[in-house]
Amino acid sequence: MQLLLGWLSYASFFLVFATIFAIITLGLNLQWGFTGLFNVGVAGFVAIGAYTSALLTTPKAADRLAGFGWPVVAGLAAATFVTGLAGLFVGAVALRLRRDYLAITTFGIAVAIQVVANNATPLTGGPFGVQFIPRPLQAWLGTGLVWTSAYLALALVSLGLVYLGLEKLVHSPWGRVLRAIREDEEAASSLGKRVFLFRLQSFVIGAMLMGLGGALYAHFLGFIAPEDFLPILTFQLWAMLIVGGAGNNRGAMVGTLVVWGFWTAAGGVMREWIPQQEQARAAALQVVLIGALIAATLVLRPRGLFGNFRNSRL
Amino acid sequence: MIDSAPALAIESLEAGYEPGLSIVRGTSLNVQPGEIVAVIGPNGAGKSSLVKAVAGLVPISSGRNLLFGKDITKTPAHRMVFEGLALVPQVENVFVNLSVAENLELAAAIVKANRQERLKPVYAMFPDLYRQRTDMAGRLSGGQRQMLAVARGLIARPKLLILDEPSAGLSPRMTEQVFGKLREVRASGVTVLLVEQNVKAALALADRAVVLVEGKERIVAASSELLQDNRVAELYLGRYLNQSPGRRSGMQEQT
Amino acid sequence: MLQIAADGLIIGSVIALGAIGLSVTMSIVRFSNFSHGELLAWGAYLALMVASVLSAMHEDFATPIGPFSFGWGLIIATMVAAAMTAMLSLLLDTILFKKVRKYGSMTLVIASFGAALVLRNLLLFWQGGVPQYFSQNLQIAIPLLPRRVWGGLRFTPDQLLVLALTLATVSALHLFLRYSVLGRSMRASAINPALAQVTGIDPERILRATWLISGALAAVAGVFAGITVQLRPTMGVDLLLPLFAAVVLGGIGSVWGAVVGGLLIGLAESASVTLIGAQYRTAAAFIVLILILLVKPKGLFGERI
Repeated sequence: MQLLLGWLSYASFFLVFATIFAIITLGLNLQWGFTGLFNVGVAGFVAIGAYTSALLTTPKAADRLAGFGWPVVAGLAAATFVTGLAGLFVGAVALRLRRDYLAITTFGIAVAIQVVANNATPLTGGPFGVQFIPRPLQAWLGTGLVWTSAYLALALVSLGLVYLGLEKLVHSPWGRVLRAIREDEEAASSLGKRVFLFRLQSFVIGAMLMGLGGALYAHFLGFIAPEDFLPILTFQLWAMLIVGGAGNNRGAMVGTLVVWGFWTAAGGVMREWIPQQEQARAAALQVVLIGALIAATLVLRPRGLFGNFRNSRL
Repeated sequence: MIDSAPALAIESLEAGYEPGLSIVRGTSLNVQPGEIVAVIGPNGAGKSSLVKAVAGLVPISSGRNLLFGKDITKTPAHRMVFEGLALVPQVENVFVNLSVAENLELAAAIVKANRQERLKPVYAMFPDLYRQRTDMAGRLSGGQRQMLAVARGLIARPKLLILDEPSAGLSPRMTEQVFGKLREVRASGVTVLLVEQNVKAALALADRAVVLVEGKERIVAASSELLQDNRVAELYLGRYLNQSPGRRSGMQEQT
Repeated sequence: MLQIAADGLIIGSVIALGAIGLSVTMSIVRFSNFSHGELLAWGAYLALMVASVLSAMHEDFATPIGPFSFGWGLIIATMVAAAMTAMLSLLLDTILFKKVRKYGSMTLVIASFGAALVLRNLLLFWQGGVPQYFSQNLQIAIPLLPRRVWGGLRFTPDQLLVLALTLATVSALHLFLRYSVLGRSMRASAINPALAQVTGIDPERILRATWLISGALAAVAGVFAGITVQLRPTMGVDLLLPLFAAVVLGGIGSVWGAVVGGLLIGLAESASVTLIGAQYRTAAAFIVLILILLVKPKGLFGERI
């Protein structure tokens, strides 16, 4: 019984993360798969969402900005909104320019956020981050498997709503214009200003989803620190999207599951087989594997598992 | 008559940027050594794509091209000068970040030829270029650029010089100057094939002309004949005066 | 005050050399290579390895030359490392970038991510996370101007050498690009690839040359970073944002733009370290990047594409 409970606990932890990552990957898919916008700073947007919700909902703390004590739901909403604003700022600056400038700018944003998170201690808690982030319904459900399962349900519902919403959006007239833009940029650019606005909207919505994911992450773990939002997170999310197949929402979700599974399995194997002192170096190998996975997928099966071939051409 | 290979033999060529979407649809034409041949036709007929395909810049899906009997269908674009074929592209046809002399010197160096030996005769043919040799190519006027573009093509001592719309963006006077140069080029022993939008000037220059419509050659005749030919006038007038479907179908039944 | 400028030049030299390779790659191969920073890191570590091997063979290799902190070992090692990094850069293209080139520039960017990850973590795996140094010899700064003159100006001999060598390298590169056939071919290909081909320039050859040169320059930049600061496996990604900022600031494809851009970013970083604090150093590059994108996106010297 204990073993089963342990296993279920592990599985639900795994699934909560997978679900949260799936929400973020769907946001990334909207930006990249459907609109062709290359966001290299995903971790930064996730961090904005996480920190926003965390800072707004935590009780008073001695050394940093806190004490607003907002309810979790409000925190989630605020996180989504604020991250959308960040997306608006970045998009406004970089979307009109050549393609890879967006990549460089988003990369820069993520680095800048990292630096601020690490150093602006009165605001963000510095390297120690934010603790005691309220977990919804903790008072009623305790801290065990029941709570985790409930949170999983919350995450899955969110994912479901996001997925349905995105599918509707993508198949709507708005979505069709987006696809037209992606497929034939030259023809679309004769539409001029409107192309920019469509892209901006897509970028902002994608950013909002990343923020939501970040906030859900914060409220699940209960504590966040700058090292939760390193570039490696961006790479993991990109791997999930590439493996699953860009441009396909179902693919994005499956890809998330596959890559997250692969990652945790690799991590587990390393923990089991590699002696304590070498763990740090083993962690490096784990990353090498993800990098190689991205590269191999691109060379061997650029459309990923479910993606459509056209969407991988950019 | 001595049986010798045509300078260029294009055989049922199909080519286009996207596989399955051919712009050149089974064109065949011959250019005899020492001729000047013009390819004319309405916009979108595939004239540019045809010569770019011959030069290796547009993928060929079927058919072949023979340069003085040698099959160059699979030759990559950067090897063409070594085979004796030089293309003068349309409009962006000089390196704007290099000087006139550097443009020419680079062309000579690439074919591993002695700089002085190549440049001297070219400067002799284009004395204006010699005067402007230290000027940046980007600063030249349209006509001067076109001269430089042709001169650059000649550095490689090609057997066949192909030009893509050499009169584009030029005044009638400049066009006549450039075309005068092309007569000199032919007189020096180089075969010339040019794509042209300016029918009148093209027919005045060329010995023969090929009318290309929708990727295929429709009429091939001596310029003098074509100048009298109503069909060509119809073809162009029909287009210029904005689509007279009646004339268009009249045109097509001639094929 | 002057010292900020001086320190900025040193930081900037490293960024400038790295940025040249990145700028040239972005202009000729046409994509933003997120693995370029790793070439600097690998260059530095390969030099460290070769220098150690040489020192082990004969201690004279490690003996510092004159006032500098390093000996002949490092000089030879740098040249070897430059060659090795050039090959690494080409290898990366051969096994990865070349194969995905047909899918467009964004796929190349993603691929360069994956490559960066692999390279960085292989380095971490090989070397561990602890910072290293080319030499344990401490250097004394030489005062060139006394403190009463604008705050004074001090350089260590190593720093002066790095500045001088950077200038020499950039000049040599400039001469190469301006006067050699390959150099002119590269510039021609950058500005008009189709015309370059019909002129007889082999595009593959140009690409190979681009990768080799940018790899070699990155290695030298990495060694300079190692000399003036330290070596650590994350030095590549740490420099990546400043490198991109320098390229954008100078204008893609412009060698002098990359140099000026690099020096300016170096100055910005130096200023921010002195005025705000060392922790916000990277943010300086980011702010410069945002500013230039807002004001003059094509960069100071304009884009060459």
